[in-house]
Amino acid sequence: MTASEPRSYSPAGPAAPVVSLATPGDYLQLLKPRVMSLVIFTALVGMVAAPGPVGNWPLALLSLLAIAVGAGASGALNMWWDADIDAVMERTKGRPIPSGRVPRAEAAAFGGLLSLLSVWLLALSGVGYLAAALLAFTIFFYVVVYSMGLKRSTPQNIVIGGLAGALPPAVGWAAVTGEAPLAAWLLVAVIFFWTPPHFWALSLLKSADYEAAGIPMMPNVRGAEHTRKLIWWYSLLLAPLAVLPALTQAASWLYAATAVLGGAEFLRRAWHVRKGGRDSAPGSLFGFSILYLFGLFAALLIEHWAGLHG
Amino acid sequence: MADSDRRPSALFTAEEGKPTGETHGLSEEEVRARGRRNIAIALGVVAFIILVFLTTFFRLADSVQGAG
Repeated sequence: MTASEPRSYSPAGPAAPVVSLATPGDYLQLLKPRVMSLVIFTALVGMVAAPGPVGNWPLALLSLLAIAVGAGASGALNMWWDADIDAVMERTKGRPIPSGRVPRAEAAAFGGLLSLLSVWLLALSGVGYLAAALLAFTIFFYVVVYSMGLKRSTPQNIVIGGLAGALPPAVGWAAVTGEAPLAAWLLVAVIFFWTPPHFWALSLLKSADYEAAGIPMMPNVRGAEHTRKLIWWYSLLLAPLAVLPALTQAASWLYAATAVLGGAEFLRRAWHVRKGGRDSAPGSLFGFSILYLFGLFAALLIEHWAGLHG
Repeated sequence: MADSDRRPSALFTAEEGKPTGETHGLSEEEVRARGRRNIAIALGVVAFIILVFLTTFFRLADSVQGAG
Protein backbone atom coordinates (compact mmCIF):
# COMPACT_ATOMS: atom_id res chain seq x y z
CA MET A 1 0.00 0.00 0.00
CA THR A 2 1.40 3.40 -0.94
CA ALA A 3 0.93 6.55 1.02
CA SER A 4 -1.35 8.11 -1.57
CA GLU A 5 -3.81 5.22 -1.74
CA PRO A 6 -7.13 5.50 0.04
CA ARG A 7 -6.88 4.10 3.54
CA SER A 8 -9.24 1.19 4.05
CA TYR A 9 -8.76 0.77 7.77
CA SER A 10 -10.53 3.88 8.95
CA PRO A 11 -13.81 3.21 10.76
CA ALA A 12 -15.19 6.34 9.10
CA GLY A 13 -14.90 4.77 5.66
CA PRO A 14 -12.37 3.88 3.00
CA ALA A 15 -11.86 7.44 1.72
CA ALA A 16 -11.51 9.14 5.09
CA PRO A 17 -8.05 10.66 5.58
CA VAL A 18 -5.94 9.42 8.47
CA VAL A 19 -4.58 12.84 9.29
CA SER A 20 -6.59 15.97 8.62
CA LEU A 21 -5.37 18.33 5.92
CA ALA A 22 -6.66 21.35 7.82
CA THR A 23 -4.28 24.29 8.10
CA PRO A 24 -4.10 26.84 10.94
CA GLY A 25 -5.83 29.24 8.53
CA ASP A 26 -8.87 26.94 8.45
CA TYR A 27 -9.16 27.13 12.23
CA LEU A 28 -8.78 30.90 12.04
CA GLN A 29 -11.64 30.95 9.53
CA LEU A 30 -13.79 29.02 12.02
CA LEU A 31 -13.52 32.06 14.31
CA LYS A 32 -15.29 34.30 11.75
CA PRO A 33 -12.61 37.04 11.73
CA ARG A 34 -14.92 39.67 10.22
CA VAL A 35 -17.50 39.21 12.97
CA MET A 36 -14.65 39.24 15.50
CA SER A 37 -13.42 42.60 14.19
CA LEU A 38 -16.90 44.10 14.66
CA VAL A 39 -17.07 42.70 18.20
CA ILE A 40 -13.62 44.10 19.01
CA PHE A 41 -14.67 47.50 17.70
CA THR A 42 -17.97 47.73 19.60
CA ALA A 43 -16.47 46.32 22.81
CA LEU A 44 -13.62 48.85 22.58
CA VAL A 45 -16.17 51.65 22.20
CA GLY A 46 -17.99 50.29 25.26
CA MET A 47 -14.70 50.51 27.18
CA VAL A 48 -13.86 54.08 26.22
CA ALA A 49 -17.47 55.29 26.51
CA ALA A 50 -17.57 54.20 30.15
CA PRO A 51 -17.24 57.16 32.55
CA GLY A 52 -13.72 58.27 33.49
CA PRO A 53 -10.45 57.25 31.90
CA VAL A 54 -9.69 53.55 31.49
CA GLY A 55 -7.75 52.78 34.67
CA ASN A 56 -5.45 50.08 33.40
CA TRP A 57 -4.99 49.90 29.62
CA PRO A 58 -2.89 46.71 29.55
CA LEU A 59 -5.64 44.86 31.44
CA ALA A 60 -8.29 46.50 29.26
CA LEU A 61 -6.52 45.28 26.12
CA LEU A 62 -6.21 41.77 27.57
CA SER A 63 -9.95 41.92 28.31
CA LEU A 64 -10.58 43.02 24.74
CA LEU A 65 -8.57 40.04 23.49
CA ALA A 66 -10.62 37.71 25.71
CA ILE A 67 -13.85 39.20 24.33
CA ALA A 68 -12.57 38.75 20.76
CA VAL A 69 -11.64 35.11 21.42
CA GLY A 70 -15.03 34.52 23.02
CA ALA A 71 -16.74 35.92 19.92
CA GLY A 72 -14.56 33.72 17.71
CA ALA A 73 -15.32 30.67 19.84
CA SER A 74 -19.05 31.19 19.46
CA GLY A 75 -18.49 31.51 15.71
CA ALA A 76 -16.71 28.14 15.65
CA LEU A 77 -19.52 26.52 17.65
CA ASN A 78 -22.05 28.07 15.28
CA MET A 79 -20.21 26.61 12.28
CA TRP A 80 -20.11 23.22 14.01
CA TRP A 81 -23.86 23.24 14.59
CA ASP A 82 -24.82 24.74 11.21
CA ALA A 83 -22.46 22.69 9.03
CA ASP A 84 -25.39 20.99 7.26
CA ILE A 85 -27.07 24.23 6.19
CA ASP A 86 -23.72 25.91 5.47
CA ALA A 87 -23.11 23.16 2.91
CA VAL A 88 -26.30 24.12 1.04
CA MET A 89 -25.93 27.89 0.96
CA GLU A 90 -23.81 29.51 -1.75
CA ARG A 91 -22.44 32.10 0.69
CA THR A 92 -21.21 29.53 3.23
CA LYS A 93 -20.45 26.28 1.40
CA GLY A 94 -16.73 27.10 1.21
CA ARG A 95 -16.39 27.21 5.02
CA PRO A 96 -13.90 24.78 6.61
CA ILE A 97 -16.44 22.15 7.75
CA PRO A 98 -18.71 21.84 4.69
CA SER A 99 -15.66 21.86 2.42
CA GLY A 100 -14.31 18.88 4.39
CA ARG A 101 -11.11 20.53 5.62
CA VAL A 102 -12.01 20.48 9.33
CA PRO A 103 -13.95 17.61 10.96
CA ARG A 104 -17.09 18.74 12.78
CA ALA A 105 -16.03 17.25 16.10
CA GLU A 106 -12.76 19.19 15.99
CA ALA A 107 -14.60 22.44 15.38
CA ALA A 108 -16.83 21.71 18.38
CA ALA A 109 -13.84 20.94 20.61
CA PHE A 110 -11.97 23.99 19.33
CA GLY A 111 -14.94 26.31 19.95
CA GLY A 112 -15.71 24.78 23.34
CA LEU A 113 -12.11 25.09 24.54
CA LEU A 114 -11.78 28.70 23.39
CA SER A 115 -15.14 29.56 25.00
CA LEU A 116 -13.93 28.35 28.38
CA LEU A 117 -10.52 30.01 28.07
CA SER A 118 -11.96 33.36 26.94
CA VAL A 119 -14.45 33.56 29.83
CA TRP A 120 -11.75 32.51 32.29
CA LEU A 121 -9.26 35.07 30.92
CA LEU A 122 -11.88 37.83 31.08
CA ALA A 123 -12.68 36.91 34.68
CA LEU A 124 -8.96 37.31 35.41
CA SER A 125 -8.36 40.54 33.47
CA GLY A 126 -11.65 42.42 33.88
CA VAL A 127 -12.83 44.53 36.82
CA GLY A 128 -15.06 42.15 38.76
CA TYR A 129 -16.82 39.18 37.20
CA LEU A 130 -19.76 40.86 35.48
CA ALA A 131 -17.96 41.10 32.12
CA ALA A 132 -17.02 37.41 32.20
CA ALA A 133 -20.61 36.49 33.10
CA LEU A 134 -21.94 38.62 30.23
CA LEU A 135 -19.46 37.04 27.81
CA ALA A 136 -20.48 33.54 28.93
CA PHE A 137 -24.14 34.53 28.46
CA THR A 138 -23.36 35.96 25.00
CA ILE A 139 -21.72 32.70 23.88
CA PHE A 140 -24.56 30.63 25.35
CA PHE A 141 -27.19 32.84 23.74
CA TYR A 142 -25.56 32.78 20.31
CA VAL A 143 -24.86 29.05 20.24
CA VAL A 144 -27.75 27.50 22.19
CA VAL A 145 -30.59 30.02 21.94
CA TYR A 146 -29.93 31.37 18.43
CA SER A 147 -28.07 28.64 16.50
CA MET A 148 -29.69 25.57 18.08
CA GLY A 149 -33.08 27.05 18.85
CA LEU A 150 -34.28 30.09 16.95
CA LYS A 151 -32.47 29.98 13.63
CA ARG A 152 -34.30 26.97 12.20
CA SER A 153 -37.62 27.45 13.96
CA THR A 154 -38.89 31.02 13.64
CA PRO A 155 -38.68 34.01 11.29
CA GLN A 156 -38.02 36.08 14.42
CA ASN A 157 -34.63 34.33 14.64
CA ILE A 158 -32.47 37.34 13.94
CA VAL A 159 -34.65 39.68 16.02
CA ILE A 160 -34.18 37.74 19.26
CA GLY A 161 -30.83 36.21 18.32
CA GLY A 162 -29.51 39.68 17.55
CA LEU A 163 -29.05 40.17 21.29
CA ALA A 164 -25.84 38.11 21.15
CA GLY A 165 -24.30 40.43 18.59
CA ALA A 166 -25.53 43.49 20.49
CA LEU A 167 -23.97 42.68 23.87
CA PRO A 168 -20.23 43.42 23.27
CA PRO A 169 -20.44 47.15 24.21
CA ALA A 170 -21.90 46.16 27.61
CA VAL A 171 -19.23 43.46 28.02
CA GLY A 172 -16.49 46.01 27.24
CA TRP A 173 -18.05 48.59 29.55
CA ALA A 174 -18.29 46.05 32.39
CA ALA A 175 -14.71 44.87 31.81
CA VAL A 176 -13.27 48.27 32.74
CA THR A 177 -15.80 49.44 35.35
CA GLY A 178 -17.29 46.28 36.84
CA GLU A 179 -20.81 47.50 36.06
CA ALA A 180 -23.20 47.98 33.14
CA PRO A 181 -25.48 50.99 33.68
CA LEU A 182 -28.31 52.28 31.48
CA ALA A 183 -25.97 54.09 29.06
CA ALA A 184 -24.21 50.79 28.27
CA TRP A 185 -27.56 49.11 27.59
CA LEU A 186 -28.55 51.97 25.28
CA LEU A 187 -25.56 51.07 23.10
CA VAL A 188 -26.70 47.44 23.23
CA ALA A 189 -30.20 48.56 22.22
CA VAL A 190 -28.85 50.48 19.23
CA ILE A 191 -27.19 47.33 17.82
CA PHE A 192 -30.18 45.18 18.81
CA PHE A 193 -32.69 47.29 16.86
CA TRP A 194 -30.24 47.85 14.00
CA THR A 195 -29.91 44.08 13.41
CA PRO A 196 -33.42 43.30 11.99
CA PRO A 197 -33.47 45.94 9.22
CA HIS A 198 -29.85 45.11 8.41
CA PHE A 199 -30.38 41.34 8.08
CA TRP A 200 -33.83 41.53 6.54
CA ALA A 201 -32.45 43.78 3.80
CA LEU A 202 -29.86 41.05 3.15
CA SER A 203 -32.46 38.28 3.32
CA LEU A 204 -34.58 40.07 0.69
CA LEU A 205 -31.57 39.74 -1.61
CA LYS A 206 -30.65 36.18 -0.61
CA SER A 207 -34.09 34.69 0.00
CA ALA A 208 -33.53 31.86 -2.51
CA ASP A 209 -30.38 30.84 -0.68
CA TYR A 210 -32.18 30.78 2.68
CA GLU A 211 -35.12 28.93 1.10
CA ALA A 212 -32.78 26.22 -0.22
CA ALA A 213 -31.26 25.77 3.22
CA GLY A 214 -34.69 25.64 4.88
CA ILE A 215 -34.00 28.61 7.16
CA PRO A 216 -37.27 30.41 7.98
CA MET A 217 -36.17 33.97 7.21
CA MET A 218 -38.91 36.58 7.15
CA PRO A 219 -39.19 36.94 3.33
CA ASN A 220 -39.57 33.16 2.92
CA VAL A 221 -42.17 32.79 5.66
CA ARG A 222 -44.20 36.02 5.57
CA GLY A 223 -43.30 37.30 2.11
CA ALA A 224 -41.23 40.20 0.78
CA GLU A 225 -43.99 42.78 1.25
CA HIS A 226 -44.40 42.02 4.96
CA THR A 227 -40.59 42.08 5.38
CA ARG A 228 -40.42 45.51 3.74
CA LYS A 229 -43.03 46.80 6.19
CA LEU A 230 -41.12 45.39 9.14
CA ILE A 231 -37.87 46.96 7.90
CA TRP A 232 -39.62 50.32 7.84
CA TRP A 233 -41.14 49.95 11.33
CA TYR A 234 -37.86 48.80 12.89
CA SER A 235 -36.04 51.68 11.17
CA LEU A 236 -38.58 54.12 12.61
CA LEU A 237 -37.75 52.77 16.05
CA LEU A 238 -33.99 52.64 15.47
CA ALA A 239 -33.39 56.19 14.22
CA PRO A 240 -34.66 58.04 17.33
CA LEU A 241 -33.37 55.34 19.67
CA ALA A 242 -29.85 55.79 18.31
CA VAL A 243 -29.95 59.48 19.36
CA LEU A 244 -30.70 58.62 23.01
CA PRO A 245 -27.08 57.88 24.06
CA ALA A 246 -26.37 61.56 23.31
CA LEU A 247 -28.59 62.40 26.29
CA THR A 248 -26.29 60.45 28.60
CA GLN A 249 -22.71 61.11 29.66
CA ALA A 250 -21.55 58.42 27.24
CA ALA A 251 -21.92 60.61 24.15
CA SER A 252 -21.73 64.22 23.03
CA TRP A 253 -22.48 66.47 20.02
CA LEU A 254 -20.46 64.55 17.42
CA TYR A 255 -22.36 61.37 18.21
CA ALA A 256 -25.64 63.30 18.25
CA ALA A 257 -24.96 64.82 14.83
CA THR A 258 -23.98 61.43 13.39
CA ALA A 259 -27.08 59.79 14.87
CA VAL A 260 -29.46 62.49 13.57
CA LEU A 261 -28.00 62.76 10.06
CA GLY A 262 -27.29 59.04 9.73
CA GLY A 263 -30.73 58.20 11.10
CA ALA A 264 -32.41 60.48 8.55
CA GLU A 265 -30.53 58.82 5.69
CA PHE A 266 -31.30 55.36 7.13
CA LEU A 267 -35.01 56.23 7.18
CA ARG A 268 -34.87 57.57 3.61
CA ARG A 269 -33.37 54.31 2.35
CA ALA A 270 -35.73 52.21 4.47
CA TRP A 271 -38.65 54.13 2.94
CA HIS A 272 -37.42 53.20 -0.55
CA VAL A 273 -37.38 49.57 0.58
CA ARG A 274 -40.88 49.98 2.05
CA LYS A 275 -42.23 51.33 -1.24
CA GLY A 276 -40.62 48.43 -3.07
CA GLY A 277 -39.91 50.58 -6.10
CA ARG A 278 -36.33 49.78 -6.92
CA ASP A 279 -34.70 46.34 -6.92
CA SER A 280 -31.51 47.92 -5.59
CA ALA A 281 -33.21 49.44 -2.50
CA PRO A 282 -32.54 46.50 -0.10
CA GLY A 283 -28.90 46.33 -1.20
CA SER A 284 -28.56 50.08 -0.75
CA LEU A 285 -30.04 49.90 2.76
CA PHE A 286 -27.89 46.90 3.66
CA GLY A 287 -24.69 48.69 2.59
CA PHE A 288 -25.63 51.93 4.35
CA SER A 289 -26.65 50.13 7.54
CA ILE A 290 -23.05 48.93 7.98
CA LEU A 291 -21.71 52.45 7.44
CA TYR A 292 -24.35 53.86 9.81
CA LEU A 293 -23.48 51.58 12.73
CA PHE A 294 -19.77 52.03 12.14
CA GLY A 295 -20.27 55.82 12.03
CA LEU A 296 -22.18 55.87 15.33
CA PHE A 297 -19.55 53.89 17.21
CA ALA A 298 -16.63 55.65 15.50
CA ALA A 299 -18.15 58.99 16.59
CA LEU A 300 -18.18 57.78 20.20
CA LEU A 301 -14.58 56.64 19.92
CA ILE A 302 -13.43 59.95 18.41
CA GLU A 303 -15.32 61.95 21.03
CA HIS A 304 -13.65 60.17 23.89
CA TRP A 305 -10.16 60.14 22.40
CA ALA A 306 -10.42 63.80 21.34
CA GLY A 307 -11.65 64.78 24.80
CA LEU A 308 -14.91 66.29 23.53
CA HIS A 309 -16.60 65.41 26.80
CA GLY A 310 -14.74 68.13 28.69
CA MET B 1 -21.35 -1.61 16.43
CA ALA B 2 -22.09 0.36 13.24
CA ASP B 3 -21.79 -1.25 9.80
CA SER B 4 -18.82 0.93 8.96
CA ASP B 5 -16.98 -0.44 12.00
CA ARG B 6 -17.31 -4.00 10.69
CA ARG B 7 -15.82 -3.10 7.30
CA PRO B 8 -12.84 -5.36 6.37
CA SER B 9 -9.63 -3.43 6.85
CA ALA B 10 -5.95 -3.70 6.11
CA LEU B 11 -4.52 -2.76 9.47
CA PHE B 12 -7.07 -4.37 11.75
CA THR B 13 -8.94 -7.65 11.50
CA ALA B 14 -12.54 -7.16 10.48
CA GLU B 15 -14.01 -9.45 13.13
CA GLU B 16 -12.01 -8.63 16.22
CA GLY B 17 -10.40 -5.30 15.34
CA LYS B 18 -6.95 -6.61 16.21
CA PRO B 19 -3.81 -5.20 14.52
CA THR B 20 -2.74 -7.19 11.46
CA GLY B 21 0.82 -5.91 11.58
CA GLU B 22 0.55 -3.98 8.33
CA THR B 23 1.71 -0.37 8.44
CA HIS B 24 1.34 2.60 6.17
CA GLY B 25 2.88 6.03 5.70
CA LEU B 26 1.29 9.45 5.60
CA SER B 27 1.30 11.45 2.39
CA GLU B 28 3.60 14.45 2.18
CA GLU B 29 0.60 16.74 2.20
CA GLU B 30 -0.70 15.17 5.41
CA VAL B 31 2.71 15.43 7.07
CA ARG B 32 3.01 19.10 6.08
CA ALA B 33 -0.51 19.91 7.31
CA ARG B 34 0.12 18.13 10.60
CA GLY B 35 3.44 19.98 11.01
CA ARG B 36 1.78 23.36 10.45
CA ARG B 37 -0.93 22.52 12.95
CA ASN B 38 1.63 21.38 15.51
CA ILE B 39 3.50 24.67 15.18
CA ALA B 40 0.25 26.63 15.51
CA ILE B 41 -0.69 24.65 18.64
CA ALA B 42 2.76 25.29 20.13
CA LEU B 43 2.50 29.00 19.40
CA GLY B 44 -1.02 29.03 20.85
CA VAL B 45 0.13 27.40 24.09
CA VAL B 46 3.06 29.83 24.40
CA ALA B 47 0.74 32.78 23.68
CA PHE B 48 -1.69 31.52 26.34
CA ILE B 49 1.09 31.21 28.94
CA ILE B 50 2.28 34.75 28.14
CA LEU B 51 -1.29 36.07 28.37
CA VAL B 52 -1.84 34.48 31.78
CA PHE B 53 1.53 35.78 32.98
CA LEU B 54 0.81 39.32 31.75
CA THR B 55 -2.71 39.33 33.18
CA THR B 56 -1.47 38.15 36.57
CA PHE B 57 1.41 40.64 36.50
CA PHE B 58 -0.79 43.65 35.67
CA ARG B 59 -3.48 42.53 38.09
CA LEU B 60 -0.93 42.25 40.92
CA ALA B 61 0.69 45.57 39.97
CA ASP B 62 -2.75 47.17 40.04
CA SER B 63 -3.43 45.74 43.51
CA VAL B 64 -0.04 46.86 44.85
CA GLN B 65 -0.58 50.40 43.51
CA GLY B 66 -4.07 50.45 45.00
CA ALA B 67 -2.76 49.37 48.40
CA GLY B 68 0.12 51.87 48.31
